[in-house]
Amino acid sequence: MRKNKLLVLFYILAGIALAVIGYVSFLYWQGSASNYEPPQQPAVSPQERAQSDLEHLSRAVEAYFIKNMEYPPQLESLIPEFIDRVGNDPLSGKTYQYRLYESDGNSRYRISVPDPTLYLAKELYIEDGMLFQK
Amino acid sequence: MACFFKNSCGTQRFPAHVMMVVSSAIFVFFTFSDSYSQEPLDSDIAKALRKVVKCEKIEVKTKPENNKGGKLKALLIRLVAPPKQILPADYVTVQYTNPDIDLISLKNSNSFKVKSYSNFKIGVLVSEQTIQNEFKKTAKRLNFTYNKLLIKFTPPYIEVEFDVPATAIPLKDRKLVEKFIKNKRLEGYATLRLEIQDNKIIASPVKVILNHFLVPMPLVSEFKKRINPIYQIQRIRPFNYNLVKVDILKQHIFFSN
Repeated sequence: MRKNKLLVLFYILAGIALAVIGYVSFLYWQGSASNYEPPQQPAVSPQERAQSDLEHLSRAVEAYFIKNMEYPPQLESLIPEFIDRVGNDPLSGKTYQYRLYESDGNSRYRISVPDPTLYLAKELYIEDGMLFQK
Repeated sequence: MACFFKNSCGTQRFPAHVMMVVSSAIFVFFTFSDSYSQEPLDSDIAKALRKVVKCEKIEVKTKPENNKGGKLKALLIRLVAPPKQILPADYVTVQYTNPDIDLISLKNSNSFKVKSYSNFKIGVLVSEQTIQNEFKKTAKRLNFTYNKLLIKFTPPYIEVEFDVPATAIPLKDRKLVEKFIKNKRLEGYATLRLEIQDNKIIASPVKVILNHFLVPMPLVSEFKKRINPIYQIQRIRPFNYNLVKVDILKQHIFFSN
């Protein structure tokens, strides 16, 4: 009876030791220089991806404005300083649309998806940092 | 001119001239505060700002309203390389919509005051290079030696590769990572996200590798608590603002209100 208890204790301790060794090995394996990269972004729906693209492009446009005191004439002007590439709308595969206009004496911009109907919307755009979906 | 002398001698027409002069004086007096031709206004604002903000370059652009002389639709101010002890940034741009500038103060005491405005935006751009330079300067000032420090912006993260002596880390924080110290050195990698709250920059480590070991998340969370806030952004006077948004772009960090 006592021998059985000792055996159980031994198995428990061995299990714990194995778990600790496994965890430490995992941490060591994950810590190699080949793992010097940011965590993977979770997969998102095309709509979330389009919204995130619009927001990222909008921030780059605003940053361009901070440096140049005017908005970029086209989205390609943001390359290479603020973005790597303009990117395409995930559902239509076409590039995002960009428009400059004046309102209340201030220059403004709008970045929109080429075909909002694919997102079951009449309009999907970002203007002055604010995202609109109608 | 001849007409003026002729009229001034003629006693009958004198009241008409007095009226003209007085009305001109009244007109000039009342329109003084509003009228200000655009170019001198831009340079006067820049001159007034140069008195209080020491930076490489100050650029001012004003957009006048069409009908009301002197009133502005927009005012844009760009500061290039503001003072490093206040804010190590490359560009700061301030944008006022419908600003009412105190022109009397500007003219008389060369001071810049905005009495009212309908909207105020500020953006601060800090480049990767400026951060590297600032880190080098701070390390030199604090006698902090390091072998490697590489900073790379991978939106939405900042990646840092480092190789520092363990003694470079304050003792209270060193205890937290002492199990990872090898040969009195800490070599590794970190992925960070930045947040900003009330002008205080908060670094959120997402992944930390120390001497070939991935640091477990509970330890990373504890580290986050200890190191933050990593920087307090000073306000550039005379502007009053709170930076609440931060974005990582390809070569810049972009702060805005």
